[in-house]
Amino acid sequence: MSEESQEITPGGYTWLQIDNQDDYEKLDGILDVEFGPIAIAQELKNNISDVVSGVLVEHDYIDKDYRSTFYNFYAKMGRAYRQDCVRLHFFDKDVTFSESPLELRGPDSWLEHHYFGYVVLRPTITATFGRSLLSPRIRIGARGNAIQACHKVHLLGYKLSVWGFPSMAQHADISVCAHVSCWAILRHYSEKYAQHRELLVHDITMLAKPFDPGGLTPSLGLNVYEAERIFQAAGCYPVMIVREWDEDEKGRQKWVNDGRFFAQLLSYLDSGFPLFVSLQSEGMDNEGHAIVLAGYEWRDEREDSNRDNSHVWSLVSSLLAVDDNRLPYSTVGIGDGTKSEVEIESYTADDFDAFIVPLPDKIFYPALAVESFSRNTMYPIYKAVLNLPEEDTLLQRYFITTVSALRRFARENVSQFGDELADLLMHLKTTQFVWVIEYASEEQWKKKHITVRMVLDASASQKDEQPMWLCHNHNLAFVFDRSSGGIKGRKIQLRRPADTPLTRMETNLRPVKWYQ
Amino acid sequence: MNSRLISYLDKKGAKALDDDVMEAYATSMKERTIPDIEKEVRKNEERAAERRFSPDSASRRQKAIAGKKAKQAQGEEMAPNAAIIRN
Repeated sequence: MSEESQEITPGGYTWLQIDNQDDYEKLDGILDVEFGPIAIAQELKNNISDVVSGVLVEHDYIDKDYRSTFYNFYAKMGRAYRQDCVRLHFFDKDVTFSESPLELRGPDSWLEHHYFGYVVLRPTITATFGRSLLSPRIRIGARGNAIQACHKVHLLGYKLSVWGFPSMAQHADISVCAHVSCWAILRHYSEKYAQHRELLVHDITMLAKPFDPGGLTPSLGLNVYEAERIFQAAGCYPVMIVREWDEDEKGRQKWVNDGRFFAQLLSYLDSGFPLFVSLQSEGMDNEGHAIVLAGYEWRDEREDSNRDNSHVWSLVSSLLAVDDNRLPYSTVGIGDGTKSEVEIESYTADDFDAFIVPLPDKIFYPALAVESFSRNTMYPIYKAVLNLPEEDTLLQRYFITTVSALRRFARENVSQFGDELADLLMHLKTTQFVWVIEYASEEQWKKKHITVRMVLDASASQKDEQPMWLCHNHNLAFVFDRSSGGIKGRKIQLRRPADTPLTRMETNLRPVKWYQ
Repeated sequence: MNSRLISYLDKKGAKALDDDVMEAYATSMKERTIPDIEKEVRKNEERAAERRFSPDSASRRQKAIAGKKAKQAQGEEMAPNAAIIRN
């Protein structure tokens, strides 16, 4: 224990002013050696942007996730492990700290507008990065859109909130990357949706097997079946999508139908569902690894090599990962050619071999059914009727949303929708979850405009001959009757405001808004 | 279609959709889309069944290819995938 940290009384707080990134090295004098301060300081120095100007160190913090592993694992060991953790809180330049009276001072009464979240440090000597909830705004390199939830934080009697996605480093001796990925997704769900209960790290390791694995068994890793089992036991309905492979003429393995695999991956991600991704790369010595995908970034132009695929996957420039080997929101490239533009060099999307999407109940129509519906029936039959763009310039995007979110989008954009289209959406009797397909030409896409929007029943059977509720373009809407056996529908002229384009709906993810 | 929506559409003068478009749509769904969805869902489930119990899928695949080639060379018939249980 260093001299400085011995002076700290239990329950104490230390303010660390960050005038330049080297100031993080002062953590070595503030934190006990069990928290691995040198490695932590290095990680923060390299990955936290200079938007952060102050760090409040909260000593003797009781962390529920560390305690779950302490009670069930560390307390049984011969080496003495501490029970307490340390929590680091990140603030912008407008916040100052006073020791007497003990308080934080901001320029206004909205302290949370100047707060960027926290990192818990575990007293485990190695892999000390515990539960974190950081705003992607402060992560160097993070960009695009990210799945986020609003997390409440209690500090010094203040009730703060921060938007972000949970993460932590694996313990290595009790949990591995796959447990941490499951934990991060389930913690996001329990924070965002009231019907999901909170599961601690030890609970996650217990859910993987039908018996108590005990001791070090969890550290041996888990396969995708066990990850599926964890999601299922936690109240989700996991769907696993596995990449397709075949042999080339020399008998070597090659991926096939990648367009379908990545279209499904992006569709679920764009729906706001974080993905558990299994990967294997030469850059990681072909060791299996699991990460969470929690966001993506659009590129300006479609890649020429992807012109045969109309899905907007061809417009994704990078993905946003929560990888337990790093601070959250690392950028992952799409292929080998994009490695120089992203943070992670050891793998790209080309190394993904399967993903699990933990869905809520009542989503039975899978993404691949939407793809098939759109490609085989919708586009060829309705191209002329709805003036859909020509195939060589067509872009299609599909995602799941709730009918409430769709109606909210229509209400907030009623001047664009027009009264009739907005009223139609309010009158429509649908399920809680719907698939939305949006078609646009390349020119429209650049302006965030669309030609046609379709609303499908996400609870439809794969054998359903009419999974669609409604489709519309600028001046015409088709409403389908799904209560009778045959395929019937009505069309209605929309008197929308003249020269007002329809814009695409992007409400499931939040922009990272990272700036220097 | 619920009665409130029907009365709303009536009030707005909505017309029935063209029969020929509806017919082409129904035929395409029956003959192309639904069989394609069933085929793709089944293929994914087969891959998932293999992947569920294989922590190292790449080496498993290489072994599977080698085994398949050896059996084909000996003229043996391939066994169905035992990992999938249907019905």
